[in-house]
Amino acid sequence: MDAPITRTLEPINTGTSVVGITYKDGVLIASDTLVSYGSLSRFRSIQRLVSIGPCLIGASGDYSDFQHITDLLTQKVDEASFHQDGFQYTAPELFEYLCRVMYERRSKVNPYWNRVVMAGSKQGKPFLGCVDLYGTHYASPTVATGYGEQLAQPILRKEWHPDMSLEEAHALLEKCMRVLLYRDCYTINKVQFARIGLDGQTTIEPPAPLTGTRWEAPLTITLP
Amino acid sequence: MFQNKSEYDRSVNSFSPEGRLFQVEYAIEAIKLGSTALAIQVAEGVLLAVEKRITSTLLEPASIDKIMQIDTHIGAAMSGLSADGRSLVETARVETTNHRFNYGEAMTVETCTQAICNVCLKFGDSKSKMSRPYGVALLVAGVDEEGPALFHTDPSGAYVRVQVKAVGAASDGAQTALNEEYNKSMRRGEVEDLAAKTLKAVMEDAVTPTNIEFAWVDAGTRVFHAYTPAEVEVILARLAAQPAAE
Amino acid sequence: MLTPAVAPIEAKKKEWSPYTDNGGTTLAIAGPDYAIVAADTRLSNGYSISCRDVTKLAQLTQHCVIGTAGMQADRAVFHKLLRTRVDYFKYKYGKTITPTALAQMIANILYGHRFFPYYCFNVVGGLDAQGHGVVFSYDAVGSYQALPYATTGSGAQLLEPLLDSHIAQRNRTQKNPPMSKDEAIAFVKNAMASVSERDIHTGDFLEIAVITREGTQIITREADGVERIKLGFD
Repeated sequence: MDAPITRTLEPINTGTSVVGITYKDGVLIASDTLVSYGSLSRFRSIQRLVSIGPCLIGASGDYSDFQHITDLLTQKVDEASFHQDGFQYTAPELFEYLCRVMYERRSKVNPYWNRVVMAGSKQGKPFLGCVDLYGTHYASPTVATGYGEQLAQPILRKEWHPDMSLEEAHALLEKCMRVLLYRDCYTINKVQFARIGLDGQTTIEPPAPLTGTRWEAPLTITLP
Repeated sequence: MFQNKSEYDRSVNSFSPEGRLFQVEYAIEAIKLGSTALAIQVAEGVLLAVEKRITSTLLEPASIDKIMQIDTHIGAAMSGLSADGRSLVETARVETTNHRFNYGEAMTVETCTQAICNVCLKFGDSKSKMSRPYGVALLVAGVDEEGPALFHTDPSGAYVRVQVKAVGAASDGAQTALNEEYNKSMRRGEVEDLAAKTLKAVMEDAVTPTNIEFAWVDAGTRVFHAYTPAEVEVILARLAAQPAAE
Repeated sequence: MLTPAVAPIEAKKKEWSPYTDNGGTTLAIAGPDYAIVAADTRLSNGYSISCRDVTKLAQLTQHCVIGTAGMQADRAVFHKLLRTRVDYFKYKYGKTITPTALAQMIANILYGHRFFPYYCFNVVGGLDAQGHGVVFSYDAVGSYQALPYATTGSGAQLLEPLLDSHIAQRNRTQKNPPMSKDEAIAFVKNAMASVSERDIHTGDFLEIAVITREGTQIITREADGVERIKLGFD
């Protein structure tokens, strides 16, 4: 007998917001290291930012789907390098492929339950794109998924400028992660930053707790 | 491959060492056995005219169709195996109808011709329904947005654009006669007369309103019109009234 | 009668919908010797603005532009498909497809997806063989009509009466002559700015494709060095 058709009807183990911005010399993205099981903080030290060939990806949504997407993209990149002809996909090309994959799955009414952020470079300029489970996609200098779209994106749009230094970009994303830590209950105070330079060099920083958060009773503190 | 050179004509899709496809060439020969068909294109439109061989007095002449309408603005005259011609015209009708469905506009005469020629090439492979070349030549006449157009197709699937063309048994004589008298500013009546005169000259039987067939695609209205025997009779009467050529 | 001890298990969990509406408004006007297709560039996701700079227009031929509101992912695929079909037409028929033929083709493609439609609400603008502007408006399953002007998308309900009044002028005692190209461009800017005041899914930037005999000019694209038209306030 044939096995019944199975599909993701709802995400199970989920990651929350990923935020990203372009800066002068590349793209910086950040997320926490939590994978939740419903409202349970189930896996507290999972890396949700991954470097694949010419790009860096991160995702909110179902973690198993994200792992699968990571495998797909890795396969694509490896396959190209096996030919040893010097060809490798660029980040926008890989992004277009990912968009087609996401759209194909939504069209089978069996989506990859994610919103994926992809960072890289395009003709000497930073590239930052985002695609969701419907295949909706766009490239933008500031990107935020999950609660980040409501809470971080306004801050990013207000404070981002094209010639930010890495330090400025880092500080801006830290600020967003702090806001998200305060208000999004599916976060954890262990965040990770990753960046990709215009030369394709990726750096994934080790996870670290956010500093500068304040948890005193509201009446006793005066906000700056 | 074959011991004897003459064996190369047995396959429809093997070249001979001289680079020839004999079956295709034989198919072209088959056309020369067919009744004469001719077409004349002028600024006012395109005329198709064919001879019908009435082999018996008991044969109903109207049942022989050598000129067929493809779309409102395109028609074709044929010479050779008319069953093959009918089959090609059928595919052309499907193509032009599909074009109207897909794009809400009429197909051009050239694209229609091309569609016919695509079918002409589909013989010999195991997937195709046709196991041999089509033994027919078509004169595809029509009017599209570029004006009147006339194309000639042969069994090889090649097509050429022409102003005047005669095909069939008496094509050589007819073509010479047409070439001599044709000029592109001829009026419709003159074209009709030329076609009738040419057919009369090359046909073995005497021309009658029932053993020749005419059709006209008008450049102004872009409408294909097949002549009734009564309309043909008018042309023949006009021809009879003209002083005999020198 | 016995009451069941356990409540019956719900027959079926609600299925995930493969559709989403990313909002946006399109507008097309057929003039005597021009056609205009315009759209905003906002990409909405519920109450969020995902991106402020995503085009809804696609230039398909020298004299034909399509504007599509609805779902962005479907639109991207639909525009891609149309581009290949337009190219293929040129290879097969040796001429560029006319807006009228394209209009019929689009209807067929949409209807071909009758049972899993593209969530696309299109307007098509172009010039016919005589050089007159033509506009076609569609629903998601390929119903279409040639119109003097058309609008689709989240702001269509706001825009439609404005177009009725200013272009059709059916209930005016004093009728103005048809708008010139420049008047129409100015009108489009004003009309779309008005829509962006009240429709939250419409805004950010406006793109206007102006189609004349000479070809198509798209106003507001940065690449053209033309200043962008900003809708509303910062």
